[in-house]
Parts: sequence; C-alpha cells; structure tokens
Amino acid sequence: MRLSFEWLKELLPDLSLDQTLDLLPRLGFGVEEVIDVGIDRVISARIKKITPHPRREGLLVLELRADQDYRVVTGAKNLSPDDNVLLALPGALIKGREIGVEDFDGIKSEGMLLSEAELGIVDEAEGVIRLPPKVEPGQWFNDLFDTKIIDLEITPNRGDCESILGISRELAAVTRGNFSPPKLRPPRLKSGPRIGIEDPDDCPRYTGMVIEGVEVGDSPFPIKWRLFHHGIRPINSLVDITNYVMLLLGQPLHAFDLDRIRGGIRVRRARDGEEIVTLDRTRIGLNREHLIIADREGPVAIAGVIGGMKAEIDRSTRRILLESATFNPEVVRRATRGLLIDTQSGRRFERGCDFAMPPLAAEYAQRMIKGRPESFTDLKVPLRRKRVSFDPKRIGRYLGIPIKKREITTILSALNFRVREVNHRLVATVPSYRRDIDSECDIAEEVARIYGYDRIPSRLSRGAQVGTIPQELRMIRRLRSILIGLGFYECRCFTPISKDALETFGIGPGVVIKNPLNERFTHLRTSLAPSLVEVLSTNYRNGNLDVRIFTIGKVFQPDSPRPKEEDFLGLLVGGRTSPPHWSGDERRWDFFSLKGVLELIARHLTAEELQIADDPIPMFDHYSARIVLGGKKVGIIGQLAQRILTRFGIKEPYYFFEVDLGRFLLRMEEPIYIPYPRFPKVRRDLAFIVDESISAQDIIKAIRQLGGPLLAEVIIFDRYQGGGIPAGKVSLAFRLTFQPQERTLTDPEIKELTEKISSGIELRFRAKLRDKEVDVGRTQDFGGEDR
Amino acid sequence: MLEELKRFEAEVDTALKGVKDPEGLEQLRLRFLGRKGRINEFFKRLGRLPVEERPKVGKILNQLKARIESTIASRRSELKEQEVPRIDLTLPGRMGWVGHPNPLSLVIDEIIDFFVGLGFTVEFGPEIETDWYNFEALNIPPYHPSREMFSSFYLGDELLLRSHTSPVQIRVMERKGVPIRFIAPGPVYRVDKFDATHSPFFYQIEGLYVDQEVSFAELKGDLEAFAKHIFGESVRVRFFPSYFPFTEPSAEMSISCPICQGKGCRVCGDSGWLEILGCGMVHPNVFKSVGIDPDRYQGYAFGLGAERIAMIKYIIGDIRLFYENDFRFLDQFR
Repeated sequence: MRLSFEWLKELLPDLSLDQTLDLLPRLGFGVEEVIDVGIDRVISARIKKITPHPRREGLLVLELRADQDYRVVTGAKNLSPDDNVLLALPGALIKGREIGVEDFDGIKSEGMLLSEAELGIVDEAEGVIRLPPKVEPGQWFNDLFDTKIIDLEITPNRGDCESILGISRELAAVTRGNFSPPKLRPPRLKSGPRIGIEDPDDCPRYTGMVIEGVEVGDSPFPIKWRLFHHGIRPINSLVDITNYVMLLLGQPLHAFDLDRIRGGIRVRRARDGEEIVTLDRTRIGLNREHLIIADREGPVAIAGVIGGMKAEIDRSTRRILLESATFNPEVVRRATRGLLIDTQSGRRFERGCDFAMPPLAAEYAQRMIKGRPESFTDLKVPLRRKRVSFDPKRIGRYLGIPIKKREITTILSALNFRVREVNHRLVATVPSYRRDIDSECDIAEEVARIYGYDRIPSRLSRGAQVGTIPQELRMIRRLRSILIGLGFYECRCFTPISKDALETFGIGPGVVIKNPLNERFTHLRTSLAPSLVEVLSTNYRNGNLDVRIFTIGKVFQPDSPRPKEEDFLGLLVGGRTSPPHWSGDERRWDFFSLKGVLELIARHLTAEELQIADDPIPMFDHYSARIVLGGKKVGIIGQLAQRILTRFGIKEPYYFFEVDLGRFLLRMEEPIYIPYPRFPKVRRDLAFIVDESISAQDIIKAIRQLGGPLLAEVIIFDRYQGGGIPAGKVSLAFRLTFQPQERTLTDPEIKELTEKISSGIELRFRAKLRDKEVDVGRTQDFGGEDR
Repeated sequence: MLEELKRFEAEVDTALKGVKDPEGLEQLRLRFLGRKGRINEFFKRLGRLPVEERPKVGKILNQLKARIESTIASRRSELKEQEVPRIDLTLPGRMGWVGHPNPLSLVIDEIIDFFVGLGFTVEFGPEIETDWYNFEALNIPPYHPSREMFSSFYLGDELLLRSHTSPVQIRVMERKGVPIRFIAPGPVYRVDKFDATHSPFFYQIEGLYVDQEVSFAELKGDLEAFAKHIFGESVRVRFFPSYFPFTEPSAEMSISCPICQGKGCRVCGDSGWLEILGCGMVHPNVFKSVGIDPDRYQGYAFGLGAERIAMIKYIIGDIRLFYENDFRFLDQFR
C-alpha cells in the first residue's frame, strides 16, 4: 500500500521521515521503497495582470507574483487575474525536460505554467492547474504537496492498517507523542432512506445517507495529486471524496445517484442469471455466490467490490445515497476471486473493516461534500467488543522475557485495548478495528511488537533429544557422493514438464496440473528422462558433448485416490568416458559402460541381485530393457531414441537409466563382520559354445546354482563368435573362483565340482564345453575383491 | 697372491664403476671372467701354491668371482634403464573426471547438519498434498486472504502441489506427537513468475520445535546461531514482526548483508540487510488441529528457501541457474 508521509504527518506532527522508516518495520510493516514524487523549482504564483502579446496572436503575457515578480508568456486560455497557478521556474524538470528562459518575439518568458497533463495525473488537460484561492503565492511545490510516498507491505491480517489513520495509530502507540486523528462523530439526521438486508451474516452493518443538492465538478488539485499518488485515478469531486475518506479512514464508501435508483435498496444475494454492467463498463453475470446492492429493478453494485454503471455519479448528479457499510470478508473474497476484480474497496473488505466506522466515515465524507444532508439509516447487528482473557505470566513464558503485568497493561493501552484484572488474569477489550486479535498468542504478539523484537534475548535452546540423520537420507548422500566421485554432475530439475515432453518420450498421460503457469509446466513428470535430456541439451548446445549427469527426485504416476509419488535416480551418459589424453587412450560411453555404473551402485547399495529383462520401451532404440530387482521391475535402461535426440539437435548416442530408489536403497542393512576366509582360492576357466539366443545372465545364474556356496565369483572374461564357432553360436568363457571357508580344497574335489557345473550347463542350455578345463593355478590371494 | 688379489679387486671395482655402456661392460666381463680372463688365470696359478694355502685362497677366489658376476649383472640392468628413450615426466597424468554437486545440495546438507547438531531430526512429506494439510490444519481457512501468500497448483478439487513444507509439521505431529524437534527439506510449488528472482518450484526447509517451555527467545537464539553458522560469525541478525497464519507471534529474520558487511550493495539493494526466513511461535490452532493441548505445549517453527540462502552465500544472481544445470555453473561447486 502507498502512503504519503506528508499525510501521516498531518496526524503525527512530530514525526520525521527517518523515524517513520525506522519504526514501520519494527511494527511489522515492511517498507518496500520510498518514492520521491516532489518537483524542484516549482512555485505557487498569483496572476496580477494579463495582457495580450503585442506581436503574437493567441499568446498572453502574464505578470505573476511568487517569491518575486515574474513575467511569463503562455498560450493558456482559462486564466483570470488573481488566479493561483503553479509556475515551473527555469531549471525545473518537467516530464524529463528542463524548463529554460524562452524568448517569444522579444518578450522573455521566465518559466511555464503547469497543467495536470504535465504532472502525469491525466493524459490530456484542458488548461493549467488553478490552485485553491487560499494558497499563498511564493510557496514551493514541495512544501505544499505530498512528495514522499512510502510503499508499505501490509500483511493480510492487518486490514485495519490499510489507511492513514490505521498506520498513524500504530506509530502513535510507540512514539507516544502528539497524535491528532481526524475528529469523528456519528451523523445527527432524521431517519431514512429505506434499506433492507437479506442476511446480516453477509452484511452486519449498512448505513445510507441521503444528500441533496450536491454539486459534482473537478476536485481541487491537492486532492487529485494525493489520490493519484495513492494509486487512485481522480474521477470527479464526489467520487474523489469517497476515495479520499477511504484512504484516510480505511472505510470504503460508495455513492449512488439517487435519481437513478428505483425504490428502496436492498442488500441481497444475486439471483442466478442476474447481470450488472460495472463502472468500468464490463458486463458480469452473477449468481447466488455474489452479494449485491439492488434496487427494485436489479443490481446497482457488487457489494464491497465495484459499483454499477446504472447509478453512476456524474456531473449531472443532484441527489446521492452514500453507502458506508461492513460486508462479510469471505463473501467479498469469493466475489473478488471468482470474478477476478481487484479494487481498493474489495481489498479492504476482504481483510476486514472496522465495524464501528461506517457512520463515522459517512459523516466525515458528508462534511467534505457540497450539499444538504437529509437523512441517515444505520442497520446493524448488535455490536459486541471482543474480550481476551489471558495469563500475564504465560505471555512472559511465551516470549522468554520477564515482563511485569504493569508493562503489559501499558503496552496494550497504547494500542487502545482496555485492560482489567480479574483473578490474577488480565482481560483485554479489543478495539473494534482489530479483527485479528482472538487469543492469548495474539496478545503476546502485540506485547512483543511494542516491547520490541530486538529487546527479546537470544538463547540457544537446550534439549535432551539427540539429532539424527535418517537412514534413507544417509543412503541418498552416499549414493550422491559415489556418483560425484565417478565423475557425474548432480542436477536439480523441475518436476513439472510439458505435455509435449510426455508425448515425445512416450511416458504416459502424466498427472495434469489444473492451473499451469505456462505450457512448459503442465504435467508432473512420470520419468526423469525429459528432465535429464533437457540438461543434456543445455550443455550440448554449449559444446559439452561429454555428458555424465544424474538427478534424484520425485516421479509421479496417475493413481486413485491420489497420484503416486516415488523418489527416483536418473542417470544419463554419452561422449568420452575420460578426458582426452596425449597417449591417445580414449573410450566412449556405451550401453555396457552405463550398465556397469548401475551394477556398481547396485552392488554397493543393495543386497539383492540385479537383473535385466529385454523389453522395447518407446524412449529407447537398439538397447532397451527393464531393471529387475528381487523379482520386481524397478527401472529402465537403454539407449535414448534418435528420434527424441534429433528434436534437441543431438546426433551422438546417449544412454539413460532410471531406478526407483525406494526399492533400491532401503534394502541396505548394517554390516556385520564375517571373518574373511584364510584358505586359498581356486580359479578355473570354463568355455561353452551355446546358442546365441541364450542370455549370459541365465547361464551365470545356473553356474552359481550348480556351484553352491563354495563358488564365490563367476565372471565372463571372453565372448567370441567367428572362426571355429558354428554360425548362430557363441563361445562364452567363464572364470570361476572357488573359495573354501573351512579347509583347503583337494584336486579331486575341484574336479568333481567343475564337472558337475559343466555337465549341468551342457544339459540345461544344450551347450558344449569348448576346451578341457584349464588350471590357472592356485593363488594365495586373500580378499581384495568386492564379494 | 693375496696381496695381488686385493689389488685386482680394487681394479675391478674402479673399472666397473667407470663403464659407460653395455659394450664396455661386456669387454670387462670377458677380461675378468672370460675363459682367458683374469679370474681363470688366478685359478690356474692356484695349483702352484702350497697345498695348505690352496683351500683358503680358492675360497676367496670363488667369493670374488661371485661378487664380480653380481656386480656386472646389476651394472647391466642399470645401463639398460639408461638406454630407454627419455620421457617428459611433466606431461599430464591419466585421470578420469570428478563430478560436481548442485549448490542447492551443498546448502541443504549444511543446513541439515547444523540442525542435527542442535538436536533436530530430519523428516519428509509428500509433494502432493490435500487442502487440509496444506491450508486448513495450518489455520488457513478457505477464502482467507492469506491464501494469496501460498497460491497453489491444483491437481483436483482437494489435491494440490504443496505450496510450503509446513504440512510436514502436521503429518509428523500426527504420527509422532510431541515433544518433537525436526527439520523437513523438500521441493515446494507456488504459482509465481519464473525469472531471475522468482520460481514456481523451489526448495524449502521447514523447522519445528515443540516442547513445554520453548519460547520466542529460543527461536531467536537458535536461528541466530544458524545464521552465523552459514554466513560467518560476523553476521548480525534482526527480527521484525510479520504474519503467517500458522504462527503467532510471527517474525521475519534478516541478516546483515554478508557481501558488503551491511554497508549497502547491489545484492542487498543498498539496505545493508537481507531477509532470509520467516518464523514464529506455533499458533494454538495448529496444535488443536492435531489434538495437542496448546495450554501444555508451545513451540517455534520456521521456513526458509534453500535457493535464497545459496544465492546469498555464493552470490548467485539468478535463481534459474540452479535448475539449468549448466556445467559452467556446476563446475564451480565441490
């Protein structure tokens, strides 16, 4: 909210700007900025003499009195002697242009008269500004008018501070200096007009005042200037007064042209299908949600939000009905939210206005309006002041300060609470405008604000609880550091993606966001692939073709009653596996080097056997498989489809996998040390010729089964097709490591075991043992391997 | 002859030390050990010695022969090494790459570790929330103007993407009761612009501490210690009144700008101060919505944006950098 410092000073004469800017944040009102709207070298001047320019038709020569006498040549028409005007002297900056002394055919003009257009208040002005007669000539603009506008952040609980009066009350509570709020009193008029309220819950108070014989014209310049810098466009003298009083007192007012109202008015919910054309010339369909002010014929205003065109005030208006009311904040908010109408009135009503203010604001406005007040009606539900009973000791305990009952009472009194003591408790009667105060904790905040947040001590907390990092977070941290150690960049990515991305990657319908920000973020991702491919694309465009990236984050799947969300790890690679080296060594990422990363982290972080199941997945080409762990599908791995990469202008192959971390990480158990075996390992190599359709994974599994507990490790060290091997067949060479736990294995035992394995494999896979087993020797190699 | 052998031994040592190349070494070998070499000469002369001296001198001669053989062998391998072509050892080594963390992780980890040190645990909650957890249980009724502070993305009438981490307060108090002390990091979603200083997706860290005597003074003390931990001992903090529906009293904490030491710079907008988090005493209505007696328990809560902390700590001027994951950005963090 914008507030002029000069206006605040009218209520708090001792206040300085620095003091104000220091106090406002301490009270809870953040100062966004202070805007200086002052204009240097502009002065009030009175016209003494007007003569036509002797040589130039249409121009006038003015003799003016300000701090001294000036002569000015002007083309303005609306001038008479004794008019007070605003004179911009040479050196003044007006709309970015510096005023100078100009020569009009032999007569020097020592300045320029200002119009409202030159000050930016209106787009086009009919003539120069004429100041009220009481303004003395020779006063600087900056001494006469508002120049310092404070842009203030007012939190939604403090609707009572959306006014000059509200903010000055707060400041007065801490300065305890001179405070002269506007003098407010209820109107004393005969009863009338006729007003009906359908439901007092919607409208707890409604006052209407009839004023006859009004004259509607232009507001005086100081009012226009003031409204303009508080964000309100000047309209006409009557509407300007209602806005001015709203800014001053926080009570929105609305004036209806009474001659355009048919019958008495009624505050009621709109009927479905009713319509209103608002002051900004918009036609709006209404329904039971909306509270309206209606005459016999239909809506004349949306209550508390905006008026209708039908009873609009204009220069022909002679009789008005001045509305000053209290509307239910929630009802007003439904209208502003539902109809997307943001007005200063709506903003105040939805934050809650002072229930006591309507008659006082009406009377204050009436004093400013030219016209005869006729009658006044005040409909209201009985007003009960809120009372909050609290334990003063609890306030101290809550804030962590030793504060005496007396100090609490003093603070609350400064904020216009009435405080009584009842059985060691205090009972505070809340001012009518403080709709935010309901309980003890609200009282604590009031005490803290005025006592000063700065004065409350800082004490480090004590507590017996031991802080711990949960297992799942420890695992994620471990995973992250392994991957970073392996050369990967950790990425953080948005979970919302575009519909286009869902379709491109073929990853299902996604979870729809009903009110997306833009077309980039319309759905929740169902895979991490689009996120990582976007990172790939960013870096690829910058010439980084060697890419190793991962991200950990949520992946969503539509489900009922609510979508599922799972933590996933996604990993993408491509390009070289290590930096270029002068030796010429170079490897590039391929499917198996990516799978190696997966196997490595699986071996490190889970206890279960990782398996791969071929499966065509839309986002992959050539290599495409599901990752299976403990019999469950936990992810996918493959080479990203060229059709997708092409869309990002990428030509080289890139590989991706993602796994569900919930199924992946939580299988980790605390290690328990098992003494490592002290007997020598025995290695044997076996090579089989098998059909190429048989998967190596299955053979390894079978070898493990046949080998039993003595078989510690099986690796494939060679794969060969070609010369010597029949077509359609492949030779696979396995290195078996036997590790006895209790004693050294004898040669016959080893022989028996390898024969059992080789005949088992031959039988099960129609394989053929290629060579006789090869003894690669006994080794004294203890430990040093992962399993 | 013993005298002669001693002289010979000295001669051999000098000769072998001085030899420069394998050819020279071979010549020496032939001269000393060859069939017509010096050693054989001595052996031939052995027969001419008195019988009683022969074994002693023979033994010495044998030892000398062995010594010469081994010296020649080791000289040979020394000379062979010198033969290998010279390599420039200043050439770079063969190394893989090491990766980089996203700076958000660095900041989040640092914050978690600080609060764990203070006795907090770590909790998580879902990113898809219901209106109840995201709003109503936190004392934000429907059609309350404060909903504007947390404007949300909706997935259905009741389901939304959480607009803050505060729903985790409710879930954890429901599950674990009080007293309790934890932080809850994670992504949150707000309908907001996406530009240098705003993002519709960001990481928040929630903190909650509830017990019988937790006061505003502890709130100040813990958060001040936190600020000093993250930004350095010289940082000053200030608390200003603010408003959040789920805390009362509510506050905002500012720190003296660590970049200009509070003198005023571009980062702090010349004010010398930077707002870094919102906090306050848990509102009794929040306790009531999880069935905890607000007359017996009190506590503090806070929420901070990880991006904001990282932006101040590392002087990052654009929030979008965190989610672009450009290597030129990530390369600077380790």
